[in-house]
Amino acid sequence: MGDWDEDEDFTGYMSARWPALVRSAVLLGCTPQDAEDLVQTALARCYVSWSKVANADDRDAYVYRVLVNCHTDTRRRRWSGERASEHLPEQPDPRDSEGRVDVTDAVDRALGALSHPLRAVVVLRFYAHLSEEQTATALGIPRGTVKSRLSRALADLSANKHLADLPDGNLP
Amino acid sequence: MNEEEAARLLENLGGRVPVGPAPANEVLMTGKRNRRRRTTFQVVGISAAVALVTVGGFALAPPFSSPDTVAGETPTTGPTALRVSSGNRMVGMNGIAVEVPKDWGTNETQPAKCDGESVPVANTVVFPVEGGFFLTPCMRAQRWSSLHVVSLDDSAVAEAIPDYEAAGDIDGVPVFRSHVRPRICGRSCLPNQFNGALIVPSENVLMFVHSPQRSIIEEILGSVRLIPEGYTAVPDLTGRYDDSEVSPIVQEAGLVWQNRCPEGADCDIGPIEATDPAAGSVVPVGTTVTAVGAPNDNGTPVHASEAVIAGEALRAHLTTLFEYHKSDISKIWVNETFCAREPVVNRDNGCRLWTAAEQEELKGRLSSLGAVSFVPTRAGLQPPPGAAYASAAHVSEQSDTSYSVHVFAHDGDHAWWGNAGERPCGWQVWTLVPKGSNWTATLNEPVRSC
Repeated sequence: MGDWDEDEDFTGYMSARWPALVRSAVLLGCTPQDAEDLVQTALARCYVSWSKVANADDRDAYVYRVLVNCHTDTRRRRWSGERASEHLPEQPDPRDSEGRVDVTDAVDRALGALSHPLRAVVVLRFYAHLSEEQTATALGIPRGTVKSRLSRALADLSANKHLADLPDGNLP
Repeated sequence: MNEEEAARLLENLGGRVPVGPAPANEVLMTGKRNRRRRTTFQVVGISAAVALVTVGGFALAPPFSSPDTVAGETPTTGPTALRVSSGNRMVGMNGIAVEVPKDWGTNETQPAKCDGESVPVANTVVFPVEGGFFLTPCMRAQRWSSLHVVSLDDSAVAEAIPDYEAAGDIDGVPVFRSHVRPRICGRSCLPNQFNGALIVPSENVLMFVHSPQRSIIEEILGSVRLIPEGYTAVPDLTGRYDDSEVSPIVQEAGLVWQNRCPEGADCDIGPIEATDPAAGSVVPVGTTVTAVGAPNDNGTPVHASEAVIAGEALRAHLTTLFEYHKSDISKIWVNETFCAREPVVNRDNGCRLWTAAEQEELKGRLSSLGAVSFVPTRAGLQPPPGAAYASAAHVSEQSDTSYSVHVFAHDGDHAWWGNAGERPCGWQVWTLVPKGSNWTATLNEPVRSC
């Protein structure tokens, strides 16, 4: 234990998990830029108690839990801080006008159609590849709820018009 | 769709996200800074001037003026009477509490426009979420330094202890404290503010008090006490979703949680915004805690908004719809003029913002209906006198990726105001009808509520 280097352990973990965490954050609904910020925030918070995280029964579940909590908090805070304006805060991407709808857009929209809890369970289970048990731990819900949400999310995705509208063969 | 297909879809989408190298050094620095912020109140070179912590090692100064007033919620039987000074209320976490003036709120914060971090907007008690009550350069610019803020935190307490001075005990429970002093002006400098802090390790509580007045900090920290037997502090549940997650937390505090979702059902519900009693309230064990309604777009509690609308001779009913799908905008809006035209493709999950040209077109169409031009939300709540039909819409200022759209309409018999945006649980639609009318809004899509 005396040889254990906390910083080295942390940076090792971060290097290994960084891509998956960032992409998970994108799938949870962040832009890539926001996702990197979110993951940095989550990891920095984990670092504060890294000795505890490192000794946790399931480190990934712990980190994803912090990530999801940070994401939830960010969404909540942004909403509550909304201010009315006559002016658009951003202009649409010029590429949008071309009406390009591809698999990425379709999946992105399909995920966007899921409620936040359903989306989170889908991302953690099917992208982060957490087990049902880990997903339950990460989200702080019972395993049975993970199962029921996955079931409902899959049904919703199956019925999603954006995915259904994809030309044959576009599904991976 | 089966699980393998879902995984492939997500891999496909995730794989297209470009990811740079992990900024290990930056995160490490931030993490270390976070640790320091938790101990921002460390006293460099603490001298013998521990004058504030004297009696029995710790000065339990009389809390504010008259200490013998019995709180309104004191039960007539059962636990010992809860004694709180006149004009104060008790707020706590885990096993300890302090007194603050009654008119100080709870979690009275709003996100700073520049970085989204929570900033106090009134004298308040706050419960930092996952990582403390950090000060950013942006927050410094928010000019909240005239406010009094009490922060109660139960994470990373053990790590902070070495930076504090042992300060005796309260009824046998060891307490550590910092001096009250001006904030050290590093990156987290806050002008014109003093702060003081204490730690009660056995209760796992780290309490900060920020104030422009030293005496206020002394009074608050001096009022610390163990929560008397028979009472408990309401935990902060902000941002949590599930009854199954919340209920054990509430139970552990000796309270009863009123489920938001019927037993056996798996509801999609939004995060908890606040509770009744409020987080930190010291209440008799066994008290029932309920989630209070979601705020409207300005963060005003539902009941308060209803009062405003009632003042406009309208009756209000808030419906929260739990099917979140931005492309449903056209089906919820008054008519399709309010929706961006298809195809709606963007990076923001299914619907994009109106372009300037579309706004102009919308204004034109509304004008043809005798509508008013774009106006801010609050003004839009009041229909112009005598207008046959009035509508207003706008897109809110938010981040690059989140947005909100608001619509108000009124046709003489009924009126309604709706908003939609990036919200975890889905839509919120205000339905406003004149008093005495039975009119209600009709949605074109079935919705699931909880």
